[in-house]
Amino acid sequence: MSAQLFDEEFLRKLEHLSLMARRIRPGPSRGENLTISRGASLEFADYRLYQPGDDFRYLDWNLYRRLNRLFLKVFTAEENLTVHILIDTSRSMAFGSPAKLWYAARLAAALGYLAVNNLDRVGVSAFAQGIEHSLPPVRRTSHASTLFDYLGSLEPGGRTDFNGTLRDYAMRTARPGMAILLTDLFDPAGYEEGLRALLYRRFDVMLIHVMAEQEITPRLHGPCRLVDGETGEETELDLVAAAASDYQQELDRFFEEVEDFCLGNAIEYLRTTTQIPFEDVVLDYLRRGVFVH
Amino acid sequence: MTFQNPLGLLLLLTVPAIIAFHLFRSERRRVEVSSLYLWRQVADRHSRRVRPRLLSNVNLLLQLAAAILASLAAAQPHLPVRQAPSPPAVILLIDDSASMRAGDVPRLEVARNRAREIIGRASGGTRFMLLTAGPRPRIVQTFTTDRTLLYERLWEISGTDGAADLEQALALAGAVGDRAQTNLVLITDGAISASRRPEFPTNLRTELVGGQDGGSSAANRAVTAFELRVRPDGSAVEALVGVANHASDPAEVRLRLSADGITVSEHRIGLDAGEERLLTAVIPRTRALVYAAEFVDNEDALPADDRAYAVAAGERPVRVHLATPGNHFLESLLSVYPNVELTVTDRVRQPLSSDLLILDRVAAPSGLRGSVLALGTSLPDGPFAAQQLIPVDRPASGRVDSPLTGGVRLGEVRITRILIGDLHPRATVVAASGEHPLLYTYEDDRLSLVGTTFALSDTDLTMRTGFPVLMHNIIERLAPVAPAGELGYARPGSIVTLSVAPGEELVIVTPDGTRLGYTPRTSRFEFSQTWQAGLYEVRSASSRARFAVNLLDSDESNLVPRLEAVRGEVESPAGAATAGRPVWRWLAIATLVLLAADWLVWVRRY
Repeated sequence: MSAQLFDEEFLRKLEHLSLMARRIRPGPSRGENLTISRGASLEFADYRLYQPGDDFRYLDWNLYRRLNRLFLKVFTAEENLTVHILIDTSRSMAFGSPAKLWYAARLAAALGYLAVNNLDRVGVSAFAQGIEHSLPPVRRTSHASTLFDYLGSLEPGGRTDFNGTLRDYAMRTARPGMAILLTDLFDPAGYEEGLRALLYRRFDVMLIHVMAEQEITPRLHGPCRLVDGETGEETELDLVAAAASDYQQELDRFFEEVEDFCLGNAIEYLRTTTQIPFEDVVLDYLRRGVFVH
Repeated sequence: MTFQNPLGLLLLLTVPAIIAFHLFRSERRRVEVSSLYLWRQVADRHSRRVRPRLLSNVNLLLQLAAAILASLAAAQPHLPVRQAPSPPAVILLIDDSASMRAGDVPRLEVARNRAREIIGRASGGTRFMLLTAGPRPRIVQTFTTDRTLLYERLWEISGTDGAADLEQALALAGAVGDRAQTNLVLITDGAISASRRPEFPTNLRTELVGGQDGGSSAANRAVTAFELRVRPDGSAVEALVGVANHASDPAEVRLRLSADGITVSEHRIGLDAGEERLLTAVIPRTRALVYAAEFVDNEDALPADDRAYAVAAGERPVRVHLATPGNHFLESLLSVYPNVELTVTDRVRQPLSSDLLILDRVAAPSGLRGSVLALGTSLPDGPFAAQQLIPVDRPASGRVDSPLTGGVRLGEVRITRILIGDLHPRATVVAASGEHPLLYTYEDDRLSLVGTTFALSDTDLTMRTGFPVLMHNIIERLAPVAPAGELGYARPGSIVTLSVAPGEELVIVTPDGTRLGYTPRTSRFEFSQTWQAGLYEVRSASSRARFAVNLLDSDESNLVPRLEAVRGEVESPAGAATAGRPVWRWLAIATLVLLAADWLVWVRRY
């Protein structure tokens, strides 16, 4: 799949995205990522009132002299960002034209490439019923080709256990960071617990909901026996106009629930279909300042 | 509803095919989706089994309706268009032949009562027509619902002494009644042999009356033939007499031959049951005019056939007045005709009392009446107004269907000059040369005329063999000439042509003594009231004559019913479907509409 995934045009688009990322990013220039963790560093961030137990080495005596109150200097902690790309490789991701997995892999490659260029640690994990296999987080620019090779080798298969997989991943990961999930969220057991597990482990979660165009507007009609691509389970229904309308309502309700959940849990959520060019999606994310902390 | 193409209904076979298609088609397509995660709720609401939904399957119902309508359209149905129902119509054919007079209670009386019953039982709107089925069938009463009038007309059917003529009666009924809407009821005694039974129409029903026992009431002995011939030397008259015994028992009859009422001979003839025998007799020639053959002391069911008569013709010669400047051929010809009394003058100063006036190139006075033959001249107030005499060079051509020119080759006749002028529109051109008439006929209430536009002296017609034939035909038409002494008779119901003096009052006394008065306008008088058998006497101021009417019909004299009853009847005399309105176009349009609706429903559903 790698040859098809990452052709010359794709790489050219990645370079373009990288330039665009620099232009869009409002923060410091290359080589550094800022975290929301305050800590000891050379960069002053703010003042706050002294609390017993604070390191009094950071007391600002000039302010004490002028204000007769103890203020503590707060510096931005400077550390390396770890980007966890979690890509759903269950059999449902094989659906669509192009396949959702193919699309998600290109998207993951693009985001990973940007992260690698930003000197972040980038790791990729493929999951279905569990973590199938992983590419451990590494920070080096040459990691991009490894990343591409890994993403190009992904094959769909297996059922989805979204909650269990993310719960395990959250518990197992030693260095939380940013978790970028590329999935279709098609798990009858739900997705909430898994996402919450990541949040508990202080992951910054970005959820990219990948849908096939056929799933948004199914071109089905008449009596059908629908077969679940993952489980082989079948169900019969007449795809009349009313049924199509019901499906649309069901889909809207699903999207709305996901959006509400993400909004309520500070999860960056973006929904895309395989028909939207992946670079547009990436730029959209950049504009949202996803990589700015 | 009728179908012009019933095979089109075979398309109905598509109905079970459509149902089978909906029943057994692959119910659902197998479609793989990424996940049923979103579909489950939808499936719960929209997944039902197919078969129980057949009746609610709109597409199926529409397709079935379309198939049915299409098959009906293919069969090209026609809706019956009923005309406004006309009242039931019945034609009563009442046999008034001689056999219907037989019996202690005449069969005809029973028939009239039966007819009265039929009329009385029918609904008030039923129209009836009365026809007789005896000799010379006639309409007694046209269609009417007036019961009183019908009853009156019924009793006017008094019977005849002639033989039944069912074929003509049915033909007449068929001509005046719509076969599809009219019932025919033949009321008869059934004394008709199979050979005389015509093919009955399907709407005919018979009502057999009288003589059904076939016993003594039907026993009858009859004179069945009576032919007379004068020996060529005139010395005697030879008679051929037929007698029959139409009874179940042998019988002996006494047959008397007479001349002018004087018995000439008497014969005892033994006849077995059903036997018919011919015998000959020689009657010494006298100047007798009326000959008779009759049974003596015979009592049977039908007196009308117990005697027969023959009357010698020529009691009164045909008087011919020839006005001519001189015509040797014509005078010679007329003089050789038998029983013609010829008077020749060179002009016509005043009309003579003659049966036929022949004008040969002489002017005629106005106001002529009677029979006239105009040769090369025109009458002042006649149908032909001559204007000039012109030469002709074209051969004559005659109408082949005219009895006047029968046996005459007019095309070979040379005519040098003809008169041309205006011919009355009612005149009939019998022969012509190009557009110019040569021989014509004309009839009105005062004149019976045959005219030629050429004079006999301007043609070689008199030299040809066709000349006597033509003149015979003309005289036969204008004043029939019977050979003197010829013995003859007529049949009941036949028309007897009498030579009379035009304008002279005429009285005819029928065999039962009834006196009938007439004033003929021409010299030929056709008498049709010959219903009775016997001697008729014709009286006028200038003459007296007789003629005979005989049954002489062995089949009619056999009074035993031989006709089987039939029960034909029209299916719906109250009005039948006479035409159909084609509706296949509307059915085809409806089919297309249904198919369009089917498509729309399918599109909307899926």
